Amino acid sequence: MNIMWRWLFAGLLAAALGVWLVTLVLPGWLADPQPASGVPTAVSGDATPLEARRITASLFYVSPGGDALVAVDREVVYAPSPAAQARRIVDAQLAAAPAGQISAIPEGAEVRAVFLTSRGEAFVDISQAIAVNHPGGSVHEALTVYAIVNALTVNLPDVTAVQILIDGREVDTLAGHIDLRHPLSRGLRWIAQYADRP
Amino acid sequence: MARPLTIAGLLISLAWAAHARMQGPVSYRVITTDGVQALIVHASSGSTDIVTLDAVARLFGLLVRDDTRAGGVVVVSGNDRVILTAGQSTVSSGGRLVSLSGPVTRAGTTWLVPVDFLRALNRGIEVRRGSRVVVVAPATAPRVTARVERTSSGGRLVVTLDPGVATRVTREGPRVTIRAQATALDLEPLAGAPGDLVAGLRTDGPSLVVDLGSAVTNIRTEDTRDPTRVVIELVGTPAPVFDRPPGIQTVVIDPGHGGDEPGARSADGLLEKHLTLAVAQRVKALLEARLGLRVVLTRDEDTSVPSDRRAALANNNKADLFISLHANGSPSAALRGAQALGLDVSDYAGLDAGVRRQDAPALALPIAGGGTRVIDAVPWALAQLPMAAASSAFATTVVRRLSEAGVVMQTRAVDVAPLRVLVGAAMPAILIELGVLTNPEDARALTDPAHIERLADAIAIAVADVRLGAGGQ
Repeated sequence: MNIMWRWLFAGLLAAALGVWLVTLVLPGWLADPQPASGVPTAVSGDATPLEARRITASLFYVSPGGDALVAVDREVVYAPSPAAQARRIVDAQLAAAPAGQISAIPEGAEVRAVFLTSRGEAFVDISQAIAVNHPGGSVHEALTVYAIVNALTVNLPDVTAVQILIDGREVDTLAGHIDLRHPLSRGLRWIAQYADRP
Repeated sequence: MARPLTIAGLLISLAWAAHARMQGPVSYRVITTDGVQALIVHASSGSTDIVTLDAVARLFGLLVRDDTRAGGVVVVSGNDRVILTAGQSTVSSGGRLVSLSGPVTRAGTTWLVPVDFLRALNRGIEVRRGSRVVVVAPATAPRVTARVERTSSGGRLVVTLDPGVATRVTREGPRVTIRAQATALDLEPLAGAPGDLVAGLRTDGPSLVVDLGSAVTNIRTEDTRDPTRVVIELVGTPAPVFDRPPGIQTVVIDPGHGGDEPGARSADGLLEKHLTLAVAQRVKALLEARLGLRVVLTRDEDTSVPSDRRAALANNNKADLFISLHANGSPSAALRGAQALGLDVSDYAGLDAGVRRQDAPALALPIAGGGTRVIDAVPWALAQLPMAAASSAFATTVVRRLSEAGVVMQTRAVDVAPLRVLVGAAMPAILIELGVLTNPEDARALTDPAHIERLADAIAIAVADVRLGAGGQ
């Protein structure tokens, strides 16, 4: 009798384990790392980096004339998914400019998160320093915005438009000029090479 | 009778002498990496320019020794010896014979050589007789030719460089500079260019300086990706076309920023919000006094006004024009100049369609005498979209008037951007950047009352142009 109870208990335990595996663990293993349509995925700053691998990305700095951006090739840490790669690229764009280049990003601005949607939109959440420390001027503001917009839309084919959020919230502008209430598409006209195009 | 002829002859002689003195001696420009020097032509004969060997020796640091037994002269150039013989059109340079375009001659103690003798020095010297230029390697001096042609939108300047080099085009007011990656430029004189498009063309070291004519209000550089060609569209002033009948009555002027939004700041502490208010008040006074227009300011003190309220004020007052005044700032102190911007509509097109579908379908309104009229309602938040062309025309008119007033303009004097304050305005609406506060020269000018008056006056004249309905054409 005792043996029968033991077998019964072991069977129940095995059945419970199977239910747990099928309902909770397997979906997690099989899930697509990209979000479902229209549902954004956030990538936090402590995503595991693959330090050994790097990609070359075009990052954007202020032209000597001060009214356009120039593209500079820089190495960026490789990331296995578009969302994580987007985060790496924006991190690099907001980092200090390389020697001889001028950053369009105000001091102290940091990436809080980057979201991608399956519609090709990226939402870049940045700390409020990007607005508070912005020295103003429509040109400077446009260069700040399009340095970020172009860094993603030029380097990542999956990203067609970028909306900048501040501390997780949608904002009107950074410093009173450029409309940030909706995603902005790639702004080639702000890149010096194309700057004089109509 | 003889006396007048004598006097006339004397005057002609004096004039000729003065002319010759003004022209100065003919010389070659010798371009080296150390700079440009002159090599004076002693005489010209047919297709040959003759220079003195002494002048060549001084210029290139050569040692010259007479060889009396051979009736010639020996020139030591580095490790090479060049042997010249009077009356011969060949010289021996390092053991090989080099033909010259004329014979070596001697006048007293002075040896005379054709200018192409320089090629015998084995120093990578190129002699261009047509433009009287000598290029000494590693210096480079591309041959530059330019032509100006009229187009429907103004004109086009086509510059050809041989060989091709990298170039950069910048504009400061009525002057365009094409800077080439070279030591100097060898420019073929430009003849027959329409003066209203290109008033002048000259070289300044490795730069080609173009003085724009009075008809040019803007330029666009074509991205040819061809180092041998630079193409600049010279945009004239199009006749602005406004959708509404001429005769504006109300203008809303928006002094940018205010209150806890100071905007850009100069090194001396001039704040954008104070500057824009001062200029706005001056423009208002001019428009009221000169044109008798009703002028409304979105703020007349140092207060913060939300963007939507600025555009709403213009809409609610049924303004015919909306002018938002700002001053620029740039991370580079080099940027200077005023600018007029309209709305870049490219990012709003999709939103417009979406909003119209959801919130603003076509409306059927009753009309007098019976029946209905279907109107395509424009979303309030995107009211500027149908006005973009008229706004662009207004911006062009403002830039023309500012340029005529002597205000330095940015390279892209008329531009567009997704400007928050303009998108909700239901009338021609522009944002004027009065100058760049981070540029020392602009910042200094923007504290000068005379300059403020110049800016305000030009804006008022541009509004008067619009009131005439043809942009002052």
